[in-house]
Amino acid sequence: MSKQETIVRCRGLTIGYGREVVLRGVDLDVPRGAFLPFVGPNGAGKTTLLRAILGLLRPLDGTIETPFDHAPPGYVPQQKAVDPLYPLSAEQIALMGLYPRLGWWRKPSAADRKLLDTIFDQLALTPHRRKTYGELSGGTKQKALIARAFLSGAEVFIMDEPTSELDEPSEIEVLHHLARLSREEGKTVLLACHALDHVAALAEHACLVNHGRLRLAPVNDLRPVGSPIGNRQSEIRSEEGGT
Amino acid sequence: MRTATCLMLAVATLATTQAGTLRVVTTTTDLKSLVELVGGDRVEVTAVAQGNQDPHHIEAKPSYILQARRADLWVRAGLDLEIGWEPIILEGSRNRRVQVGTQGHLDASEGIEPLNVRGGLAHPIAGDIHPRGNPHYWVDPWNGRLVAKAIADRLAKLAPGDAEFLAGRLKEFQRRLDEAMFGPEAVAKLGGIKLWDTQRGGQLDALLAEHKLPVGGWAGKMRPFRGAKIVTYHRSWVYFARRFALEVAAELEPKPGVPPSPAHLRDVMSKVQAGKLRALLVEPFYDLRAPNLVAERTGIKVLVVTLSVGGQEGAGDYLALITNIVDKLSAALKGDTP
Amino acid sequence: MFHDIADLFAMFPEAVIAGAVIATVCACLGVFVILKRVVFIGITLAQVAAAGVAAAMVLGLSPFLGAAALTLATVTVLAAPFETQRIPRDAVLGAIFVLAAGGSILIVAKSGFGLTEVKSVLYGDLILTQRGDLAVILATLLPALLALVLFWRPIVYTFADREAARVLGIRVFVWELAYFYILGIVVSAASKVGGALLVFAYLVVPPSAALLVTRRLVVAAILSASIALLCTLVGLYLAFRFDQPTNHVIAVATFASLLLAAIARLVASIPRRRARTRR
Repeated sequence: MSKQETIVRCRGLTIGYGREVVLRGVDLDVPRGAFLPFVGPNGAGKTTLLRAILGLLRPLDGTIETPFDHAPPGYVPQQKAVDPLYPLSAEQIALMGLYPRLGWWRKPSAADRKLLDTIFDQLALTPHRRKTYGELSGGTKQKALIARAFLSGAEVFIMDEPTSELDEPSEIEVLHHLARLSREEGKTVLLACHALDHVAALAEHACLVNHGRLRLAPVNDLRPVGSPIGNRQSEIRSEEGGT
Repeated sequence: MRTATCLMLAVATLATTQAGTLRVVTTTTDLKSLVELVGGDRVEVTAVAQGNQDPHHIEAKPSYILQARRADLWVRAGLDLEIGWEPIILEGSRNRRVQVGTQGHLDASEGIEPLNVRGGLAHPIAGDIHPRGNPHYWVDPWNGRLVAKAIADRLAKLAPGDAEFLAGRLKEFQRRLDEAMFGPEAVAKLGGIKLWDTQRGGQLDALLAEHKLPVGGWAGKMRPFRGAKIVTYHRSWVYFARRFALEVAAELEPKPGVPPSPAHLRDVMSKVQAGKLRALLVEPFYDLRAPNLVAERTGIKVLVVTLSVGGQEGAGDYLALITNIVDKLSAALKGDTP
Repeated sequence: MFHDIADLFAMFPEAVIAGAVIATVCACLGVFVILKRVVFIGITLAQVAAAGVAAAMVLGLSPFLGAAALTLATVTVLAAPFETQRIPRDAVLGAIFVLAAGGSILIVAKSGFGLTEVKSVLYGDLILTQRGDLAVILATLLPALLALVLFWRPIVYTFADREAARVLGIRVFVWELAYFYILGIVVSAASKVGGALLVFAYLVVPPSAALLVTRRLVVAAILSASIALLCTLVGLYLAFRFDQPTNHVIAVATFASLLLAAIARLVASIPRRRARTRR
């Protein structure tokens, strides 16, 4: 990857739960403005790695450097994260993204409201803005969480399978928007996904997570493997994948 | 062979009770004190309910059953005071000697004249409902005298060899009680029984005036307050009130065990203010919030005084119990801080 | 009727005010009790407070200190994140309740003293509120309500999406602990005056009624407080008018409100169901 300011750095990172190691010896430098997918099968450790980078999981070994202490990222968890029992509307979920700036007492400004309207329009969320989160479909829930991240205006977006529930047109639109943010505004995007599919055309590099290891490789070195419907995986074309 | 064994066991038991101490279990500490005062060193007494506990509601513990199992005599207050827990303990003890109806079971209420007799059936769930009469009778010293005699008689039946000793102890207790009630001078001159008969007939003042004797003891202390109206928390003071000519004008607990409703509190407070009632009596194991609220609104004095031996400092035995009540109540009615 | 209401206010002003404050504050906090699925926390904390009183009596300390210390220790345990644990928070609540219920009786069983104070924490009676009680209620519950209103946002975010809240820089453990501390103090103070049954009713029933009727969290809190307040005033009046124990009438009144809310929701859903059937 090109030598730009590194915004996320992992050195000798080993992560897991209790005694169970999920990923070992991860060395990773993510430059500012990168659009970096993390690809791998279920249970490979993509979510675990993203949570560790976010500071939600303490590493078993190694270090992680991020600027998130003073500049929180825009985070899109898997849509199960929000408790559906809470009577919060899609709009209220999205407004959570403003907390780092507003704190516990400031009200959103007119500019914030206008930005919210724009994001909701882009994500076709406007008809659903007053519905409670629990009432939304899986895809609409994900859009609400994406809207939260976009509204935050963060420099880094960390997204865990953000388009898994979206229909294809919506998925493509969201991914293209993220790529645009990366390319034109210098936003850094780290996103976990099952397969490269729609992401391959948008990224230069990807991280492959499998068998307890992470490998960073150019996207062109990756090849989709033919397999039954619903089970698409990618693997490194060459034996010598690396930065 | 079996007959011979039973005979031997009976003789052995008789021998034990004749030669050694009698193990007595009482349901309340007041009865325990009376048994001790009458039985002296011939008895070993334990009480189930402690002085600081509400005798209506006792949580049965294994030790109570063990005590009952070893007992030679079980003494209860009766009138359904212990209906919630006595049957469980006696049944669990499997001690045939102390079951209801046997010589080893004494209902101390049998010789007294109960007040508040309602009729109907009592049930453990009803808790404090006593259709056969109000069970808090021991705070009338006359009833204490009657109960002491009943205890002495029963102990003598179980330990005939100690009959003379027990009769002497009873006489001594009756003398002390009579002197505490009327004063030593009057007792020495007229004798306790005559004084009691006269007092129960309402002619005590006249008799003592005739013999130019002072009204001493408890009777003397409570004399100035005859006719005084008091408020009580629970309906446990009726016998004491009758003996010393007090009037229980209101009770805070409208139905025993049921918290007072707003309307009932209002009625009590109205009565207190209208009748200028001066003292509200409550036992130490009751919640003081209702009494304190009434006191805050009306200025009535709340008097926390025990009806049970050991329920308060100064109520170490039966005689001290009555003295404690008389002293505190007379001070409160006089206007001094008790 | 107006004569009775006037009498009630004249004779028991402290009870009316204390009841109103306890109802309002508990019902607001209760919205989160329902949403966090810790419904039995009210009863558990009241029992823990009673155990604290029992322990304090035996150790010769102030009963209030004993109640406060044990209650705060319990809420500290309950504030830990249970989502990744093997047993849910409710199970821990149940275990603490069992320990406190058995323990408080055991502690006083030997001595016999202190049982009245222990029972008074559990079986308090709103109608018996005195000036001193009202002062304690106002001094503890009003600041608690103010704190909930002021810190509404971080508390809601922490509860609704704990991980996202953490990422946003919210100190989730601090806010979780803050809520449970507020709840613990409110339950301790309110139980002493109103009794555990009434506090439990306020924490659970009006919030449930409100959540049935509205899909907005702020509206649910306001509605919950309003329902609880109405039930308290109606309950006080009915207890006065028909000579019944106050706490129990209010508790039944809160259930009636839940029933009405359920019926209202059912009736409101009929046109939607008919529309669906026609399609």
